[in-house]
Amino acid sequence: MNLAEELDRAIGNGPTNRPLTQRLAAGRRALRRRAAAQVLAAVCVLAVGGVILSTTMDGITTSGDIASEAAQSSDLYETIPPQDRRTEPKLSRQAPIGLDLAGNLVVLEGVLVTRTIQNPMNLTPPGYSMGVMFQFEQETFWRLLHVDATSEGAVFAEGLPRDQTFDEWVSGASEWALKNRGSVGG
Amino acid sequence: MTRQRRRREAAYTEFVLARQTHLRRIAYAVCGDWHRAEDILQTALVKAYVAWPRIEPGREEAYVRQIIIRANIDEHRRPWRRERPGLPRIDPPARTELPLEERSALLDALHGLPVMQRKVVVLRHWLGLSVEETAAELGIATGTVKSHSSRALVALRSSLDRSAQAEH
Repeated sequence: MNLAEELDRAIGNGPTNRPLTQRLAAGRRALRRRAAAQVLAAVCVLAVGGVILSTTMDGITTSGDIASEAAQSSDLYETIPPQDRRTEPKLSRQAPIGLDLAGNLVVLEGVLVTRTIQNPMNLTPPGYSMGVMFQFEQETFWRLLHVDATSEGAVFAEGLPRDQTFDEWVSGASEWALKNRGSVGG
Repeated sequence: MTRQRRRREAAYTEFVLARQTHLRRIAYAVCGDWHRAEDILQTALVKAYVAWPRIEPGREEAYVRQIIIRANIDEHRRPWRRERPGLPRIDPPARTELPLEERSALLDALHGLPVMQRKVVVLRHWLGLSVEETAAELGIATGTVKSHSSRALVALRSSLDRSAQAEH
């Protein structure tokens, strides 16, 4: 038995073929579908790329952003009243006066301020300094107070220097404080 | 329509007119149902139309045949393919098999083979492809083709013998 011939005879030809127009139409439809799918895929890729890029850019801080943030901070500093920005310094009998971080002088009850020199250390905001002459419990004291965003401190006069005026003492204390800023406790 | 598109359609039309009957017979030999064979052929021809510019000239038939051969012909055996559209006894079945008397014992024996053995018989013993060509078409090893071929021939012979004995 020749299997190939037997199979060829057995298989036959079956029903008539589908019209050629149907074959062509189906092919054209498939081509259009594929083109549409490609366009859709391209749009999706672009959209996903855009989202990823946008998400990535959100995490990048440019120098422009920093400048903008700095400007906003500066504006904030100037527009918020000083008393709202800082808590009161801790005052005691040993430290009856102090500056809050906005540069406002805060005093313990019973303190009489007789003179102040504003910002003798020429600190830039948010830093501030103040020379203060005051009386407390019947004694006169000179103090140089300074404060900035990260630290605060004071220079105490050891008694009242007889060879210096208050202005000279504040000037000298300011130079000393600028050199030793951060290491002087207040 | 562009010139390129016209060329594509002319070549495709010529190919389909010349080879569709043969290709549909291959599909039928593999699946055993003319309507299913027509569906498989149509799917393969649509894929060929889309891929036509990429098909190597002279390889069009092999391209379509490979799609037909690799089609999942057992899909109709899956549960979701068993639905019967239409109302029973009211709507006539949309597809009918050929009358039983038109089916030969050989064809019955062929369609009684496991799918891969059937495909090997079709490619190797009907279309006359070599072992290597059959292996490439099916994506299997040549040794596997040989073993499928051997088992298929034994099963065919056995089936035909039983059929002959039943007739007498």
